[in-house]
Amino acid sequence: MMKFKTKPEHSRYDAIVVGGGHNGLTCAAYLAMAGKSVLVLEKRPVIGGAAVSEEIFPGFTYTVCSYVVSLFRPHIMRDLELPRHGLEIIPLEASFSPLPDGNSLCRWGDPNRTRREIARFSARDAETYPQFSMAMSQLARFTKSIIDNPAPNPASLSPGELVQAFRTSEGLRHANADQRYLYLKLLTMSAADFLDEWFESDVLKAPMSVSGIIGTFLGVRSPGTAYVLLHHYMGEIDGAMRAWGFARGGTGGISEAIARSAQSSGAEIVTEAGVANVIIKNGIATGVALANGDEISADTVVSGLDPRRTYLGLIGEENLDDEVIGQIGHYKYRGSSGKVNLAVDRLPEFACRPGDGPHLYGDVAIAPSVRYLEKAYDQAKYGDFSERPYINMVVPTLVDPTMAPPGKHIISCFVQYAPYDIKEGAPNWPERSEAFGDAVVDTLAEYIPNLKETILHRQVLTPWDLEQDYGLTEGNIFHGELSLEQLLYLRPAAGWAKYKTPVRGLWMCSSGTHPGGGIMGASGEMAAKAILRRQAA
Amino acid sequence: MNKKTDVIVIGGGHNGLTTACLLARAGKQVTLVEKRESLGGLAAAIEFETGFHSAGLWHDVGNVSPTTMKALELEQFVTDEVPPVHALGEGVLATITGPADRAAFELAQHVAADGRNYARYRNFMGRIRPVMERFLTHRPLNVLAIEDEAPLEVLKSAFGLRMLGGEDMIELLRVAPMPVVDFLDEYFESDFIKGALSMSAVLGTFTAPRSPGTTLHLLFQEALAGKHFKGGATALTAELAQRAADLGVEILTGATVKSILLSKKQVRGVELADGTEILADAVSASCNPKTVLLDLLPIGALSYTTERRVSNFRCRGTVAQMLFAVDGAVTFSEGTAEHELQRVRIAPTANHVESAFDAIKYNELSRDPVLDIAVPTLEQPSLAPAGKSVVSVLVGYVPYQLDGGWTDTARTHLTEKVIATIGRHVKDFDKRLIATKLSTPADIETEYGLPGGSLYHGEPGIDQLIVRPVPECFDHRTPIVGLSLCGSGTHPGGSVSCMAGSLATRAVLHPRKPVTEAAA
Repeated sequence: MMKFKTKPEHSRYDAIVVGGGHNGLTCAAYLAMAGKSVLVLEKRPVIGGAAVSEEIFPGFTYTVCSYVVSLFRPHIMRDLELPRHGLEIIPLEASFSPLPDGNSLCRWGDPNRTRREIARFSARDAETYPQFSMAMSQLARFTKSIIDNPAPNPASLSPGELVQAFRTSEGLRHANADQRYLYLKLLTMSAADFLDEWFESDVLKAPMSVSGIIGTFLGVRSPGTAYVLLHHYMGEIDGAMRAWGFARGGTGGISEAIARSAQSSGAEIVTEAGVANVIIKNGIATGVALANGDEISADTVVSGLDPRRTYLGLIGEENLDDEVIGQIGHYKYRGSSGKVNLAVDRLPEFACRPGDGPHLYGDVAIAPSVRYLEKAYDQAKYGDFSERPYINMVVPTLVDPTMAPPGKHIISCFVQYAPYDIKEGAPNWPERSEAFGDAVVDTLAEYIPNLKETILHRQVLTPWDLEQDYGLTEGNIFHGELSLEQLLYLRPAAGWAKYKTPVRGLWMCSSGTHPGGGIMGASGEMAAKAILRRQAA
Repeated sequence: MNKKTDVIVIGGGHNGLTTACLLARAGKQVTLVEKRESLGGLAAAIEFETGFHSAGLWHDVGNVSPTTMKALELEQFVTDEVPPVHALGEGVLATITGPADRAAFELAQHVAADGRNYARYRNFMGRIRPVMERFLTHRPLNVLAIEDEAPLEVLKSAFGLRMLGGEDMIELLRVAPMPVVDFLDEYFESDFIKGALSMSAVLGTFTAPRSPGTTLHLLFQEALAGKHFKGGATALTAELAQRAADLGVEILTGATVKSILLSKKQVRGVELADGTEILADAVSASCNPKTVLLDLLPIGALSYTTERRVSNFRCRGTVAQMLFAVDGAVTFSEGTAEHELQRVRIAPTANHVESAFDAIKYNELSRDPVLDIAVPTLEQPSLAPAGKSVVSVLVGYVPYQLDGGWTDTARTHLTEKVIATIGRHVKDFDKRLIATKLSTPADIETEYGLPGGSLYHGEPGIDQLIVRPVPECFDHRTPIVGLSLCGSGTHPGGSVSCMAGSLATRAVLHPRKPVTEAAA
């Protein structure tokens, strides 16, 4: 685990980055590479934000919040030389779906193996699956230009914006009518309805549809969830499309590699240094004030925090006009997920597919049917966590045994749904936390019969914990919902979607800007480039 | 016996009648064929109990286009006096439609801020009206092949949007994809207002207030509100039928089309169930596209891809209609006051609407359905004997297929639930009932030939509004020469506006090459 100083060397820098999450670190790295003197200020004793690994239980390093990576931009990996700085991503071998009746489905990197598995449930679906993957991959290629470019403002008639719009829509212009029709359906339909047009087997559709609702407050039958299916076909690791992977050392390993890259370019990273506010003089940011009262100056301040914390926390309502306050007020968070991390004394064993096997070297989805997933959502809508939740489980120690003592393992569980707005209000969450953890363990125990006796330690993170400890407003893992009304030129607000804020010299580089959440690094990179372009001009 | 004519119009609902009238006016010899004994389709008055008639399935007469009404010489029936819709809460009542001043005043009695909020809401709807109107009254843009579109058309649409001004344009683009409950939360405080308003967006669809995209549907309904056809949908179709007869349209009722006759990929005419053949070079069908393309066309007429796309056109019906013959007048209580109201909604909160929807996803009955109520006898007393009333209720949501089957017990259970809910607001409702009739989505499918029981001839999901029903049937044409579609399953969609029927005439009067199908 990297250690950092807790006091900055200097009192003045070219740029200060508030928040040492992966986007803040990426932004710092690019700015430092361009020759700027950069200081990263992180409130916690560890860097990474929600891409963090911590030794929560002695001997066991949890990948506390996020746990897999896929959409990290390959060009950023190359620019920052991340592999040289320790980044190693091991592709996931499998997507395993155990079923309550003792059966199970596993989808593999190898298409033939996958076909044989699916064929046990539906011969027709086995034939269609590769066609579907092909169609999705094609559409995913068209979407890349949208993610890798700043979002153009459709109301603007300026030539620059129109060029930008042209560039961003490049992918779609190359699509034929059939592909565009599919794209239209993908953008507007529910994941379940969309998959119904291709597949018949519920056992297959359920784990596929669930990628459409990760981090959202929607169900697999809600319109607009098919689109996120595409996100997950966009994954690239070392250029191979559609590949999810573990970072060695957990997702904290990614953050640390970026941090090392930033440091090697001269950036300074300081931890246990929370920022109270940005110092603003005549509408211009001139530096930051730390929680301990110290002040540090800079020409440029970049916030890696989410929009609410940036605008209402760092800037302050008194420095914003009513319209902006209204816009930021409309931006929604509504976290819907929790995390349960378990330290166990042996490898978990599924009753439906016993023993150590390649099916464990990937992600496990507790998503036995579309009905199960939808019921989990319905329960959360009215203020409670799902009694029988969707769980995405991984065993990172199978890929990186150093994260636990020999023979012992970590089970990382991403859980939906756990609404931030629990009955009678969010501060109720600490009392419900253990019950939530129990629901998760009880559900898993239906598939792993001896689970409970193997548990050495349990960490439960509810949306409340994610907000209190990891800076995620309302526990939303993406710094704000990824719904159309707050994406692209609307993220985080119309007019403020190009990484600038109403305060001159203050920028945003977090997932609360285009292209949105996930461990992509794209926001950090594009913010840095926007800053450098502005300064060169 | 064979007949020959210029154009055969299949289906005598409001769209079929509109197409028939406009074509006749343009000089065509038109034969309209209607399966049922009477014209009017979903808007036909049905005698469900001796002396008692429904006013059809639709409670509102949509946004009839002034141009179409003028072309049909029916503009004298169009009025600004729209029967207001009321939201009914626990002991409270408020108008949620109509001009800002009247409704706002009433709302302010309950929650002062909501009076002002209503004005703000109506104001926004008014400002975006030109854009919504353009979409609903113009032929569709071919979004999938935008390069083939005349640049002027594309620019006009884009310009129309831009003419809203940068702020409103962005605001429209921002709110359209939102769940309607989030949109309403930005405007109103009162729960029962939001519940009732959200029903405009979702009733009859396979969505609920938390579903993304429902705001767009609300915007379509609301932005164009403000006009009414005197006498409602039944009067509209009755006038259309009269106009059709005046214009020389030959009308055959009780005549079911068994198949559309083709010669190669060209229309020859239709064959009726009784064996009669009617020959024509043009057929315009107002039934659900699935019926036309999958049932009435011979197998192999369309490519596999086209057929697959048509069968994927989602038509899940989610409302049931309940008709009540009632002794005496029907008044709704507000505290100690009683009001005789024509249009009422009972939806205590948006969450009620949401949870009513939850049940049907599992083919179950909603524990607490939400209701859209009409008392058509207030506008048309002749629907019932003197001193008696008809109440029509659209019940949200009701599944097409019920787990355990639509047994008599299930039907009674639902009926009693609705009666009990109404009974909380209408004194002695259950005691004054003379007759009831329940039509579930499956019943509606059978009675009207509507696949899935979908009142809109296909769900108004955004993908199914932008491309309606499928790419191969763009702009009311089909891959078959001479065959066009003119019903609600085409642009611009359902609700009683006559726009589909009106726009579809172009496909007959100015035929273009049919759409090329995929090779397979």
